[in-house]
Amino acid sequence: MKALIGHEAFTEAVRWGTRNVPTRPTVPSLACALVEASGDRLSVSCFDYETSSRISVAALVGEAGVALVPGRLLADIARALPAEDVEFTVDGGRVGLVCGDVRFHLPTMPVEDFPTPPAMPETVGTADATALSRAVAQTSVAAGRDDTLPVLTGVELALGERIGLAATDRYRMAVAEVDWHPADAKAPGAKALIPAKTLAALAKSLSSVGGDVTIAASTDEDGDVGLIGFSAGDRSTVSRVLDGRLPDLRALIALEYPTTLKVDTAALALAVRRVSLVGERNSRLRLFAEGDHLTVESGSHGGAADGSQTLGCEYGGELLRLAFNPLYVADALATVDTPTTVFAIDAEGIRVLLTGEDAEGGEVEFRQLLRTLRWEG
Amino acid sequence: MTSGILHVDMDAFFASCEVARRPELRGRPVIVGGLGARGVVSAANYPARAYGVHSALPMAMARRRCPRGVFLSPDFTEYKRVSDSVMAIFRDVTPLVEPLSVDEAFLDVRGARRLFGEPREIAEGIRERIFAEHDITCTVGVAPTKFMAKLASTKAKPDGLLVIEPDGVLAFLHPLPVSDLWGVGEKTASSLARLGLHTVGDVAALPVARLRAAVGQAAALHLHELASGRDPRTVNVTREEKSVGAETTFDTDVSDPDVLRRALLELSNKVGSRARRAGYVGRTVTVKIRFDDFRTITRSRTLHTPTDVARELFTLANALLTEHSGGAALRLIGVRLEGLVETGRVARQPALGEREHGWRDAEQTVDSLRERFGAKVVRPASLLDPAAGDH
Repeated sequence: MKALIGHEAFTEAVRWGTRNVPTRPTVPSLACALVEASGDRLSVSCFDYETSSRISVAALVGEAGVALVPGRLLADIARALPAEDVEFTVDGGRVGLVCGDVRFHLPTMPVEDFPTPPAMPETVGTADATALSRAVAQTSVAAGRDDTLPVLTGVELALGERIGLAATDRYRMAVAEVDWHPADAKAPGAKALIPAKTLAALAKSLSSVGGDVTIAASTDEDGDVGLIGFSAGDRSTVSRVLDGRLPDLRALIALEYPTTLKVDTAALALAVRRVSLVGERNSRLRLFAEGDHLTVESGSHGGAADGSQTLGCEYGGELLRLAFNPLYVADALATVDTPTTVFAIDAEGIRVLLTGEDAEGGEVEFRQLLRTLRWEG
Repeated sequence: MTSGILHVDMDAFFASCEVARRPELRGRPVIVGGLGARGVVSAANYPARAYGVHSALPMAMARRRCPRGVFLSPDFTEYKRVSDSVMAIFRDVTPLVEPLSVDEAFLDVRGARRLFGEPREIAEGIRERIFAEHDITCTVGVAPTKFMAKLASTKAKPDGLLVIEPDGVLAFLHPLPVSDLWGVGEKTASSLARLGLHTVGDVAALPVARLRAAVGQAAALHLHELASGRDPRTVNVTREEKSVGAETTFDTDVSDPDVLRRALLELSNKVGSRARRAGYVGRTVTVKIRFDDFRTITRSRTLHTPTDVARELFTLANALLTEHSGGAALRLIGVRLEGLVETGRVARQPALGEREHGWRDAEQTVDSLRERFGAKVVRPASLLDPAAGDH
């Protein structure tokens, strides 16, 4: 095998093609990336039994071939190469890398040891990479981090007329909707639960490429997705989905939220960050609103420390008191991408729906539901 | 440095409390503990110890060794009452009291000398007052440090007083076996024995670097300090409760999931109610499982938000038990709440779908009912015992 690849193409190929090489592989061959040269392309792929990733880039192929190369090592080397074309050869079971004055030789493993990753399922539609990535970032923040409750660590993708995204750790929930172009005029309506971490990392790297993302899914008769695939340009990835479904908390969003309060997103985020300096973990962040003033307060009076800031808001009602987990408010505000944030509050002051003003009906629709803490001093 | 730290340890506390309220038992062997088939001895008075009965001994063996003994099941309410009163005696002398359990405490009396005299006189005063007011004896160790004070009381037991002056510390300490050092168990003792170190003096004489090679960095420094008579720990008044737990040993091994679940629910209720009473919430729930072959495991899980709600403890504990017991016959199960923080310092995050008044309110109501009407007035329906006439 012999191929000549441009520097940028090579580093990009290695970066994507080793993106989910496991740190602690169950079998040694999984710690490797499969490098393949044929026609005028060089492809790099890896697989950790959950997710497989593949990329193919233009190359000048002298001799077609395939090799299984230590993934982490290849990634480290690719990052360290000087900015010159790369010659990639395999000879006698060893990989040779030549880049300007730099040479590396790496061992290989038998290609037949590499498990066959699942094939890309059938295409179900396309979506704008940037919009999808934003919706993923907005929802994945509300996913749980406790691996003993795997269902809650996922973001649910519902492939309907729009793509609906939802995530919850039971204490808060984020939902978003994003436009797409289903391949079939009749939307498939399938649901897939994808680990939030995987999806967030994926969406971020796909959006850096820009353009459209092609979504592919294999579904069973109940509409449950078994495998989900994403591809953009020369990159693709196929993932298994999490078993189970998110607890159905969407009904809570449809309830009545009669009281509204509008406030400058950036100003409130800054105030929360400031006063949280004196709040302990799992303490209360208290919000008081009256007329056109909103006071954000943290810490305990007479306790170790306390802090507060008052800012303008659009409210106009009687004294309103809300207590939140400070981290949840900070997370939620960070995902609002309009200048004004709207708090919609239910009659009991138990649940609060947070949105960006004018976000509804837009290209990306996003809402986050928070559960308030009981008001105690 | 003066000898101003006291370690006060009640002698055979539970048994002494029993004798104090039933004078006819005086002089007879009294054994307090679980009287069920698998009970163990919690306390044995000195006449009983003469028969080889000591705490942690299986009750069945205690009965064989001491057939004429008086066997009593523990009355924690009574012991707590006496304990509170004894701790109050300590606090009359100094505010610096660190209770270690119901029956022992450290006292720092260095600031009390002008009022009450030398530490020896203070210790004698305490011993006299406890005996006069409660008719029970205790042993006091007086030394410059907590570690030495505890050693002194151990050596002076029962009904004794031992004062170790600062210039007598090393002479007292160095002939002792290494196993008398805090933190030296069987394993460390045998590592030390391999180096030819048998007495505390041997350890003190060894350069720390050599000690480090045998027992590791942290342990080496700790042992060297202790062996040299140094112990920087002060009497800590605000000693935090580190965990709240309860466990139960079954009379016969249990594999029936319903019985286990009920036992676990009862334990969870006990732990939840204790945590609430003490004003703590915790994030980590641990279950202890002892199999019929005595193999014992503990498994824990950490909650998203700290809790003192029995219902939540039970849900997690039950999941852990189901996962790790594998349907085997069990001898003992226990539930423990760890990572405690004061309730006022954290806010409980309710789940989205949860109602405003949840389990915690229900359980708090039960707490107050129990305080007024007794422990059995309200219980989960599944814990009602038809045989006992509950309905």
